[in-house]
Amino acid sequence: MRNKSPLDQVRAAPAEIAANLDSFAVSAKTLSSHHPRMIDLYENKWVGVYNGKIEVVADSLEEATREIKEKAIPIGETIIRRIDRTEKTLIL
Amino acid sequence: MLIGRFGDTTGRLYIEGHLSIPSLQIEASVSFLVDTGSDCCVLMQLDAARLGVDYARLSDRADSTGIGGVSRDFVVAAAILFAEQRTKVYGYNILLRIAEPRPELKTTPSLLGRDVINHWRMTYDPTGGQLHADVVSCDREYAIS
Repeated sequence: MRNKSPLDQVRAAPAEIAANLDSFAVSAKTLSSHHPRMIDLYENKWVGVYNGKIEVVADSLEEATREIKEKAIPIGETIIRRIDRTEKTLIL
Repeated sequence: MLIGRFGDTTGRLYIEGHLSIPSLQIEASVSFLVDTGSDCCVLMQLDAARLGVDYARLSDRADSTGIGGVSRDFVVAAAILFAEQRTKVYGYNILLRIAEPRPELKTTPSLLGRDVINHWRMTYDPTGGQLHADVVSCDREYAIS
């Protein structure tokens, strides 16, 4: 019998995936477009955004992740970023 | 057509995708940095920690060479899917690299590499603030009714 590929094992339905990605993109844009204001409010903090709304502000990635789970917010659909005044230069 | 975005502060190019790692029972949305210089997709610590990746369950490893030198990453079979304006979803089977946690890389975003990008025809438009990608090929296509 043929082994199942990863795509064969995806649990979410296509419509659910599309809806989740729409919501996640809104959250990503929220973090991006509000970044200058967030620097004043949350510099050096880790911010979790779900469905376009800031849900968690924490001192570490681990703490932010834990608080999101405690609030029963879907962690897989929450974007978490650190708010830094100076962006690191990336050369990949 | 898939649509990506440029970060307002960084100017970096991102696209959101649905990542599935069956062996770890992980399914989640990830904001990927579109990186034509990366040979393959990489899940960085920023997302791995959020998704609860259990490194003890990963065994296959491979070297990756970057500007910071060689890193010993984990390799796992995964699926990555992208949605086109709630009409279609395109899926790819990939061998995902999972970067070993390192403090200096903690804020680095996950990477979308050429194992996926090479299936797209992209228009890179920073002035317009968007990436447009026509899907030339994929492993599976789903219509959303």
